[in-house]
Amino acid sequence: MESNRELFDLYQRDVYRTCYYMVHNASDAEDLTQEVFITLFRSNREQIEQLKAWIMKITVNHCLNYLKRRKSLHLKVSANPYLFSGAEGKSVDRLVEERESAEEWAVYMNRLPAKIRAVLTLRYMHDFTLAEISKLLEIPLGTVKSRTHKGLKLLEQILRDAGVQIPEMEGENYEQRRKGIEAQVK
Amino acid sequence: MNNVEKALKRKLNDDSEMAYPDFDEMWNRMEQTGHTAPTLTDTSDSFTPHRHRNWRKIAIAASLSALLVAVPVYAAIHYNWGDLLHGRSGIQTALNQGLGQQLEQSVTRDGVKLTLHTAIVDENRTVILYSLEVGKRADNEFWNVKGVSLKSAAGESSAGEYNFQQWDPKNQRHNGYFESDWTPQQETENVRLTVDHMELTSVQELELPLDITSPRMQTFKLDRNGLQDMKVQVFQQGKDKLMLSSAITFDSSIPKRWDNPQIVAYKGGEPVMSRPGGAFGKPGDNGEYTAQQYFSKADIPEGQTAFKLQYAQTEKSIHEPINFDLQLSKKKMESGTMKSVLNTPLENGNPNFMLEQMIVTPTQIRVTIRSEEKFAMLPYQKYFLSVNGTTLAGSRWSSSDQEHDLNTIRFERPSNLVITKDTPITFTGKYKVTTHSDDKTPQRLTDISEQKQTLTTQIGGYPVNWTYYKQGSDLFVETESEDAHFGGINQTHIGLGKERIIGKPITANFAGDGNNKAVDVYKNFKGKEASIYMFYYTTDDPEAETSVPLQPLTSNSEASK
Repeated sequence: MESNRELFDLYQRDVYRTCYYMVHNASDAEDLTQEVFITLFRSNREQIEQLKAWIMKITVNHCLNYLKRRKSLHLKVSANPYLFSGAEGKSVDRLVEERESAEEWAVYMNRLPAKIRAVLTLRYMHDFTLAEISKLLEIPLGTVKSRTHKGLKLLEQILRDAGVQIPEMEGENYEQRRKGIEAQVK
Repeated sequence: MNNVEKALKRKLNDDSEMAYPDFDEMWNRMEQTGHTAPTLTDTSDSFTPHRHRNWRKIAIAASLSALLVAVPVYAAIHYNWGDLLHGRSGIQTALNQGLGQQLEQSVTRDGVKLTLHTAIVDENRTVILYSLEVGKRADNEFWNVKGVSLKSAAGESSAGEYNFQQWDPKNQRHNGYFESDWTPQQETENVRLTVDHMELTSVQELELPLDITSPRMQTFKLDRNGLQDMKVQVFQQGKDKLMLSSAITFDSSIPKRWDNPQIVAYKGGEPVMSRPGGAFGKPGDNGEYTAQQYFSKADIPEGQTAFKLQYAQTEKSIHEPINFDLQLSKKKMESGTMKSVLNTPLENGNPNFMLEQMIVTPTQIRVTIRSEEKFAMLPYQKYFLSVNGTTLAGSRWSSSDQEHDLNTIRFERPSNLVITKDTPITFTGKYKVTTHSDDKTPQRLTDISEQKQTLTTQIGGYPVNWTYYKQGSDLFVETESEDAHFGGINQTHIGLGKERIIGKPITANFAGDGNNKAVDVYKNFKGKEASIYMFYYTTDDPEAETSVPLQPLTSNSEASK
């Protein structure tokens, strides 16, 4: 088993990047990363088979919990949308032509509901299969599928609204490539 | 795989664009605080307080959530709020039956001693009773624990955490309880209870020379603790109530040291209870702290009443997180716990609201209602449970952040109430409120001026008065009906489509509060005429009720345990 330091060195970037795209705030992401590792160090991981899946589960749960707490203020706001008219959509106007940095993508990601964000992050950042995500987040496979589907649709809309050119990318079929990777691992 | 997927995948994995923090420094921080030591099947060591903690405070956005918490804890000085467990009688019931789990763990920080006494853990919730011994204190000073959370080993924490405490003059200490929706997944589970910090606040008051007879906006300079000024406007509510609508601007460059500001009225030196229905903490257009408070006119006679702005000022914080590692068990409660699946409509033939589940524990009975739509308003305002002839009043809890279509009605369980599978239980909803969003006929406001003008229209068969007038450059539109069955108009807008201007409600417009007066303001309104529309209105039927037998079990329900 890895020492704590090895574990930290091995997964610090994955954990931080996940937190960053989940909460979209560098300093909160840093605090969350530290929290996640403290939790990892405190846990007995001798019996853990899928180390990365386990780490990502804890990471995503920490982020969702954090967002939940942060959201309690916004809950009443969203329950009474009429009361808070007018402000929506303004940030889009301010966005400029070049939209390439991680910062901007974190902004787009943050327009998605947190639970959808979690699914997309696990799927497209960490390459987990739908079935793995289902186990990891303890939600039914159908829900993972529908959240992925909905998330991609929403994201497409968000990108379009923001005027981002969705880059045409050639070729490789994601599912096939994914299978290829799995085959190599085995 | 489509282009969005590809772009997403590329972006999320693009390391070159990511500004990573200094991981070595992070490691050092964790090392210094003793978190990196190879561990551990035994977590008891983390109990020892570390003396030289260089804690970078883990950012928990507790301060944000505090904004909307309008519980006037500080009013405890003036009013008798009854016993600590008022409203949590089921906890007292469990304690009386010896179902509590003794904890008796203490930690002292800067002379403040926090002791966890007893845990009450069942299928519905976890409640932990605690006390704070604080030594010497002034009468207007209160210690409190902040950012309390429960976390299981897997990093899962709970929703719906809440703590309440009050001063116990007899024992010269604060008594409190912490309540969480978290319960152990198995019979017994190891959890960590963390107190983020402890805080000393004092209650401060500022004179507010408010003229309640003036309908104009009144501005008061505050200039204390970062509070800059306060604007108050007085509105008539029906014949005998006044609404004080207020907005406080504060200097956001000064760290916030105030909390829960509210207007208090003193008649002959004695505090006057405000009327229920007040709302606090909604941010205004420019980030102000806004509030609406209601008073009975008779309670605050002109010339005999003094108004003050009351707020809690933070005097001191002990920013050293306290951890308690606990092993919580719901074993003692299990024999008294029953779960039943209901799947019965709340109203006959209406599938929009379904009673889903009933969980009976020794402390509480919970009935969950799932709505077809998210954020749907439950059609009834009051809920009761009749258990073998005893009637319990329930309180409504909106769902956790995860499930916006779930509502829970909680009934605290009194002592001596025996419930078995055969006990007859009936669930009743009373006071129906119905939302109507189909009336899109505009009202024509003409000759808009400073002069108050009223037109009366029929909405859903009820007479509704529309009163409109300008104050300065702002247009005010008040709606009200003499018929109490009209619940009120939630919000108005002028014009349609892209051109429409949305009115800003300055009343809280809670449904089912027996108050149908609403006021919208249109800032900087130009023009002499307007076509005004409403989003929706509600009608109240206080006498309507629905009853659903939950037990003995009927054919379309089944017991799962």
